[in-house]
Amino acid sequence: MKPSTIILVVTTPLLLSLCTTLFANSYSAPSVTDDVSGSKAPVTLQSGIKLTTKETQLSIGGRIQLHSIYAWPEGAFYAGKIPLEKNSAGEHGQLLMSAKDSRLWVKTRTPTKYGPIRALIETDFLGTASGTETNTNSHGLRLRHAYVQVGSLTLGQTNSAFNAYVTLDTISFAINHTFVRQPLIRYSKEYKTLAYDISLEQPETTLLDTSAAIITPKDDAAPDIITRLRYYPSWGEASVALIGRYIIQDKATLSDGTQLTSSDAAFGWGTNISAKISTYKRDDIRFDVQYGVGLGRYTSFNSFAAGTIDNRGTIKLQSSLGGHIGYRHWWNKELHSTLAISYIETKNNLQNIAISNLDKVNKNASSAQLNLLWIPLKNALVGIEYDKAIRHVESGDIGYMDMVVLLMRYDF
Amino acid sequence: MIKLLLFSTILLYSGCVVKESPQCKAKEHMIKSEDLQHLIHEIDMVVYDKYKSELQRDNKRQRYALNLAQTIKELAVDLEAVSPQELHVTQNAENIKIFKSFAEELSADAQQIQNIAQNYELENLPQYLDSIQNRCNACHATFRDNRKNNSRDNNKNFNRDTK
Repeated sequence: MKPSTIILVVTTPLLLSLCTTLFANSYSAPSVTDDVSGSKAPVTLQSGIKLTTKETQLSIGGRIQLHSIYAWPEGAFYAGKIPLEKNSAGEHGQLLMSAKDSRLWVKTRTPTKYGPIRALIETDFLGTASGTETNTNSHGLRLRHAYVQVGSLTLGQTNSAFNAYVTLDTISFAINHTFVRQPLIRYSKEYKTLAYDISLEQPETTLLDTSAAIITPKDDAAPDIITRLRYYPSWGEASVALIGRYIIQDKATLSDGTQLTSSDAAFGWGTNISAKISTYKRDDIRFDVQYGVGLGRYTSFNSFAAGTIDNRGTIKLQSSLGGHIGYRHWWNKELHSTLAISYIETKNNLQNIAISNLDKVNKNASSAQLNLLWIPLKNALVGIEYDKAIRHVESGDIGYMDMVVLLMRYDF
Repeated sequence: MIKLLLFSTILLYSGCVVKESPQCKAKEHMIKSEDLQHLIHEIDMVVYDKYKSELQRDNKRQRYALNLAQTIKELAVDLEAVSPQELHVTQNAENIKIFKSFAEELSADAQQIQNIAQNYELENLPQYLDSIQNRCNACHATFRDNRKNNSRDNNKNFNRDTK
């Protein structure tokens, strides 16, 4: 890349003046401006900085995000991390502010005879913390995505094809959130209203051992295979994903240090269906349902294991069922709200787990979320959300958590 | 039974007539405009999808942009088929030429949007959305506003005459 050929282009907001002109029109009948733009917000796409050569365009962008959280009691809003009542002696209502979920990405696009090659590296600051709230609030850089797309192929680390394709417009996660980012090789084919993906993804077995700890045997031999069908009708979008997994242990080590002398394997499977259906004007209903045997880490951030392993090394897979549904309503062109509920449960095999350890085994969790989100400027978002979650564990104990989240975000 | 057949025939016939009427064309134009409004809104909202990577967002933008191009093309074809009588403006050659040129330019913009979407040159999309908005505004200002003014003038004349 010759320096002389580099053109630095900084994208600026182009359309504010246009919109001012359009909406200053005193003509009261429906104008084409109203018809086409439909919004007082400027027509936008993205911002960022672009470096362009004759062949490759490199763009830099990211997100600044400030989260402010009050939680009663303090904990994480994940199915496996909601504090149990008997253990909830922590802080109640402490204000926690953080910008560590801010992001930075770099992408490139290069034309080839196979179509454009596109590459992306995306990071955030949710890595290991090296500072404290007392002074610096430093946070470590963490890799989110590193992949390349050419033609129908995707190679690298990115979101799993089993993830919910349609997600809630909420600040916090749904309690059953199906979400994994991992290395993969994916073939995708796109048509006008249909698309499908076939994905070979990094395997990782998670098993609940006799001490009620989730272990990872690290003996995986075959990739997780995922197929997904996406549908884009005029009423919204929908997807159905199927997964097949080879769950295996080969002389694994249990959490108490016991080294097994045997091997075992089982075939896990699951399905994930999500959709967005347009309703009145810009409102929509969104839902996601998943069921499977051996789904494990694919739901609720590894709150449930794919199966259990006993002291003889025998694997027994567990079934999981989860779902969420939310309604998004637009109050006007800048304000919208989502009301959502979600649920997840796993039928745990408890035969070999001591009664004293049952409070470590998650049985089910549910949540409700209500928010008000405001788009004051293009690429900016301000919102407040109330979240409530309940967790049940196999010992019969219950955990409750209430949380108020204030979000301020700007994508650049 | 005969009544039912007769009723169905009349219904079908009336449906065909309505389909070809100027009101029906205006309704189609409005529906397509609403589709455009929806697609542009969806493009604007892609940036707020927090679970998708930047390339996944571009994939979504591309899909919406291709749909947008298709809708604009259909809109342009409909406009090119509008007869001079339906323009409700002074029927001179100049006006008709201007109207047709709006439709042709709209069609050209749609093709540009399709090209940049296919090549993922999505950073260029806003300028064409701008261009389309400007063309639509100009066309409405020239023809819809004129029609309204003409209608207002006619009403004034009618009121004056009746007085």
